[in-house]
Amino acid sequence: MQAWLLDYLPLLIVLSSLLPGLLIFTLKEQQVALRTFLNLLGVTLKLVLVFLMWQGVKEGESYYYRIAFLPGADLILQADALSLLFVVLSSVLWLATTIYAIGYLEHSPLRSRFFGYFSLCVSATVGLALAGNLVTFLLFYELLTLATFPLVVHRGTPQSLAAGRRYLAYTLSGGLLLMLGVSLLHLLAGSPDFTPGGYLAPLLASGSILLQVAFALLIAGLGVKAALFPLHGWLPQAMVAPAPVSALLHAVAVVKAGAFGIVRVVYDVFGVEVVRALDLAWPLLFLAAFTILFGSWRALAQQDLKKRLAYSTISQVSYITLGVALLGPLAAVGALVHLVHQGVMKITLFFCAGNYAETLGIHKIRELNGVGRQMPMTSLAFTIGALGMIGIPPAAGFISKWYLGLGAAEVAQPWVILVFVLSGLLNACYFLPVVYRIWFGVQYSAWPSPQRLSSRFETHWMLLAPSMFTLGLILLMGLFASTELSPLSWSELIVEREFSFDD
Amino acid sequence: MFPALLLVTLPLSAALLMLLWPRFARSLHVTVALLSVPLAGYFLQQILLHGEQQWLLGGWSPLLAIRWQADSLSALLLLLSALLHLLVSGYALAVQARDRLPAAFWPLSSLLLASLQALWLARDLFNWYVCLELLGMVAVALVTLSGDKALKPALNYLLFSLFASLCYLLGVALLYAGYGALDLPLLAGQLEANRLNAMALLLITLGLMLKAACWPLHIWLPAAHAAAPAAVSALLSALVVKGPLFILYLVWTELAPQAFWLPASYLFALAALGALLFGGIAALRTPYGKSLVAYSTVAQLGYATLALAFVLRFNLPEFVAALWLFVLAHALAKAASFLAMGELQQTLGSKQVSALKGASQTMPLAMFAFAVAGGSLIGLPPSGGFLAKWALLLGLWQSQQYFWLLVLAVATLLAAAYVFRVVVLAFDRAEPTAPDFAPQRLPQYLALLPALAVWAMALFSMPLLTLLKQEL
Amino acid sequence: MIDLSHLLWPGAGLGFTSAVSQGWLLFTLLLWLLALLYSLSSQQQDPRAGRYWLFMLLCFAGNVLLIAAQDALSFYLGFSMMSLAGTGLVLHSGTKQARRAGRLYLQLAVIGELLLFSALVLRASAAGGLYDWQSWQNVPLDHLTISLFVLGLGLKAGFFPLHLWLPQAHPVAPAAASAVLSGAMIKAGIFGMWLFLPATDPLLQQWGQGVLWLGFVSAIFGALAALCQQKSKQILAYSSVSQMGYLLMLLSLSWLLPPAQQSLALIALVGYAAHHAFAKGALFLLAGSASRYRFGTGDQLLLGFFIVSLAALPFTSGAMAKTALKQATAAFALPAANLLYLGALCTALALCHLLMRLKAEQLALLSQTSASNMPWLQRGPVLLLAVAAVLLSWSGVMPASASVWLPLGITSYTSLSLQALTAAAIWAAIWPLLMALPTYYLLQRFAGSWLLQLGRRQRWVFFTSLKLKRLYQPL
Repeated sequence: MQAWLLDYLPLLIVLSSLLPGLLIFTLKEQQVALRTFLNLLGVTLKLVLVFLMWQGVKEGESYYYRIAFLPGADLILQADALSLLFVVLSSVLWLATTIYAIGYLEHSPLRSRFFGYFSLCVSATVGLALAGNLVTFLLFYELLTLATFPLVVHRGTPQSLAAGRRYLAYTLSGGLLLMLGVSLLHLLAGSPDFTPGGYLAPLLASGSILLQVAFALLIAGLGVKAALFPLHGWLPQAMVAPAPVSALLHAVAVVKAGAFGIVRVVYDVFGVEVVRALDLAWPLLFLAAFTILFGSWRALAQQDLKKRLAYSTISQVSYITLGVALLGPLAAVGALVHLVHQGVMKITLFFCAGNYAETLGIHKIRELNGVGRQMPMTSLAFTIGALGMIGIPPAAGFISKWYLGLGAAEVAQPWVILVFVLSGLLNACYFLPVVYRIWFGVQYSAWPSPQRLSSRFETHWMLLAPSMFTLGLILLMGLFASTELSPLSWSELIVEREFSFDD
Repeated sequence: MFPALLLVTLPLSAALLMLLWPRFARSLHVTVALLSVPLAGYFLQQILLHGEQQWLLGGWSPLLAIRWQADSLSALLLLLSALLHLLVSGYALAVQARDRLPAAFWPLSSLLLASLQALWLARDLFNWYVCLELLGMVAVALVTLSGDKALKPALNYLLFSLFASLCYLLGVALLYAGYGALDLPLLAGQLEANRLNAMALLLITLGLMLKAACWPLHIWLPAAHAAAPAAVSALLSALVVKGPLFILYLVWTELAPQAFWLPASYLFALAALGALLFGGIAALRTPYGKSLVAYSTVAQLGYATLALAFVLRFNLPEFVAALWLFVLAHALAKAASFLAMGELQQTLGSKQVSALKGASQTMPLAMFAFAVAGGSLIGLPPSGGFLAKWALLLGLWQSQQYFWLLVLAVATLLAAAYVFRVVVLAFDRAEPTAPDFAPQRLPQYLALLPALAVWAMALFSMPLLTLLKQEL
Repeated sequence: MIDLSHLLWPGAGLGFTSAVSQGWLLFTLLLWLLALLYSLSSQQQDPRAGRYWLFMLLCFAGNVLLIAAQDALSFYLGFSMMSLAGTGLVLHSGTKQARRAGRLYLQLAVIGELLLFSALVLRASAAGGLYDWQSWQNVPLDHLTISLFVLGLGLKAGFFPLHLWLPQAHPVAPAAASAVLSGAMIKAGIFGMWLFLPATDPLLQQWGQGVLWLGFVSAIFGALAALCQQKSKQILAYSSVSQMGYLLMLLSLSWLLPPAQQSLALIALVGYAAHHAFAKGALFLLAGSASRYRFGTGDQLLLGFFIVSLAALPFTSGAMAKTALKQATAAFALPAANLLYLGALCTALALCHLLMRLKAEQLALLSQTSASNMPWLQRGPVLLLAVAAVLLSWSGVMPASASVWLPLGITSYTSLSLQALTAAAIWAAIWPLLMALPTYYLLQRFAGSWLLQLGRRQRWVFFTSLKLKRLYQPL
């Protein structure tokens, strides 16, 4: 590849979904083939570019693209190991979700608008992953809010509008807090690039209160999207969106943006040393631990499948925050690898929930009785995903839980392991009865609204294939965790680079 | 000298010609609008090349002559006025047949442009009075173009405007009595901090705040702006209220003695607080679409007033930058949102906000324009509103004004609430309002144009700040 | 050992490196294969046979994997695979009993797994991020970790008081599944404790005494509780609780004994586990067949063989195992040694009871229908198990050349099995049995109905389990 092209690689990766997205907006509803083509073109292009970048970053190359933006804070797109983790996750899952969405929305109205915003959403996510400083991050964080809002209200029903209002109320407030925090830090230290080990250490001597305020503002702002305890209220309601949207919101785009931001702030802005010196990790740790248990507890009471999954997300995403707040390298590996694993597992679960809803009209958990016979493949995917969430090997969730547990023991916080155990227990309490119903339950009434979507498979192949794909990923990531390609190895690489600054 | 003179005289003479030959009014208007833009651009370039310039009209001595002065800020505002005027002209052309825009629009809006351009250039208290008076009269006349239902708000506007002019004139007279000069550079630094001067400045400030619709003197604005035709509202909200603000800024920073700065800053801060909170709340509650946008203007002016208050109190470059960035961003965003809202109301056939149900399907372009402009009003990156707010935030953090940070946060949330109040409705698919006729595309694109421009503003923050001669 | 750590999860390694794991693998594999063979016949008419085979094979794979594991993650994978797939076996019949037993099983299995998880995490962390046993051997334990291991693995092993699920779950599963559940799968708990609690650790000395007593209580309790039951499979399940108590005693002896004699206890442990696997497996298979087929004389002989073997009548594998146990206890000079006779008496009582109940069930069956003979596909595996049991007990008397194919651990069992052939040992094995017969008669005569009532006192378990379910799954 040409050298000049390499310089533009980060920008191209963002544009590879942005431009098709903008083009799709202009398409008419009937231009299905062209729209599908554009969608898939974008996906393929992005995957190829990401692959190139992945190769480069593995060899230690760095990509850097800069546009003038605010004074003292340029718009920077850069690729380090951490950003690539998130980029790969979102592009791969975008592939699955795009195919799923094409199948899911077949024959429904306003598809051009949907896919347009869908692509924008991924562009914002990727941009956020590649952001090289806080201001750039803030920019994409807000763009993500704007791009996802139309997806949340896509159905246009009163419930979805209410959900959309609530979503906006939360996320815009979060964005505002983030902006306050970013501007404060900008004043204190400027907005240099993200640096492993943080760049605020020199400021420690000159007073810590403002730094603490900035940290609180940043975390509160990011916590909204990461659904940390008092800020989680938008997430369960946002479930009214179509299944691919929920899948994307929960697995990749929105909640992960928050979690990823927390990772960035703790490791690359403040740095572990400063966080420790300022005693900032404790509140975050407790909050995350509480959220884990709270989310699981609330999930128990949900009778709607997607709602239950939503509360489960609240709980699971806080694993990442918890791992980060433990401030140890092993916990960091756990947190990062959970970012990927949780994404893949949760997207699988949402795909399955969507399959049930689309094929048989099942929304409530009690309607799932005996569905394992009718839709074995989907049910298998759901089961493995659920087992992974509980943390049972060989599903990927075990690996992340294991490292988080090790991390907790490493920094001598064994009570955190208790949190994991309790959460695992609660996870089992709300997932295993579902699994039981699927496989062992006896169907006692006809399916709510069965549709014949395929003559060969249990449902439309475009709905089935993505869930099978992610199911495969779950097992591969869990089984072949030590291979070079696995998220675990990549997370270890990141942590090596992030934590080696002080050696 | 020459381009500056042309910028004022061209629209002025064109307006007179239009009155003489109404048949050519439209073409004359368009020609002037088209010419003004490159002229203003050229002028800006000249200023950048040669620095600040001033002229004494007629070549008399400073005491007698009319002084014009142009720095890069003036040049920028000249360009902005010309651009927005061109845009609105285009919009008016596109919709005149449909909306039955009276022929009087053309000469009046040209006159409006002439008085505005003169205002940006003048540095003389009396000269400004003339500009203000002309601006006010023309604005009132433009509001009446909507027909009978606009008469009452227009009359209100007229009365307030006259009262404001009177106050201003009184203040100017007091100063003239004391110092025998009206020229700003001559007076600069001369004023002592005595009661008389305080009285004079208070009167001038009162008049200007009335005209700039600073809270709580804004009561005339929502009705007037909402009643006017969309093209007029856009001009009024985007440009006309900024004129008095410009004078207010210059009077206080250049003329007023430093001793008065602190009390004045409290006054402005109070006005800003009220504007930000009550303007926002009113916009949230009003049932009418254009009033919502008009109240938003009141609220947004609060930011500018706040910035002015802090310029007087702390004299940080951040606040000066914030003040003018707000003016620029708001001008663009408000033009876009008024045009979009006007277009939506016309097509959907109702003034009510609730009539916008489903507008994202029926009129996606206009709705998009409104939403994008709204993003700047909220202050989402990378819009101009964000840039301005960023500057304000940096200043506030630096001067440790934590209370005002809170106010800013609340105001931002209010802005988000009233903008998305509309946007969420537009996504309602349950019972969309059907358009009365097929939506026209061109006016919608024209509404989108300034919205997109304001969203790109932050990407050009460096050149803009250079023009404003401020550093963050 | 196969090192897979660059391919699979970190630290992954498989292999059978110690005598204990080789012996363990041998009897587990044998029991599994025979049980699967038996299933070919017993699940022939099962409409949900596919599901049955899936869960059986998953459990099988998990069971073998956990024995082969050389690292914590592999063990945990095998363990949880086996535990969770076991739920499918318990639930298989789909009756009300099966459902509630399945629920109880699953609840406790999940709790056990999470406890094990935290124990493993603590251990791996203490070992500095290494996951293989070799590195764990010399890392000192702490009380928290030990208790987590004992609880987590104990919930699988099912000794008192962690046995709650066992008597409910084993009887409801299909016969072959019960056989492996009782014969092989619960032993994974003991195997795990042997793996994770290395006898060299000084802290275990403090624990050994308590665990020994726990095992003893479990042995007595299981046998007595079996007496109160009416269904043969339930009696067998409680007998498993009792037998797990003996295994636990052997394990704790291996901690307590001086290093020179530790291997003695370990060999006894493997031998006893193998003996129990064969006998209990066969009895479950037979009990399953007894409810459907008419037993011929040969079948009754087989049944009798396994019952006396389990009752440790001389010349059976049970006698060898019990002698080994006594040897180990004696070596430690424990006062509990004499109490072992009490245990033997209780066991004998329970087995008498089993025999009576089986006979009653068989009579009931014959009175109702014209049941056919037991098919060879079911008799065959049981017969092979009998052969295995005989081989196990007599390997010591065989010439060395004949026993050379047996794995290392079993051949060292030789000395123990030879010691069982002394007159004193034979007498020691016989007299509790002789005492048991009149005691059983008297018990049934005078306290039969009381025992019956006592047996119904287990409802609270289901009640609690249901309460728990309502907690996380409100109506």
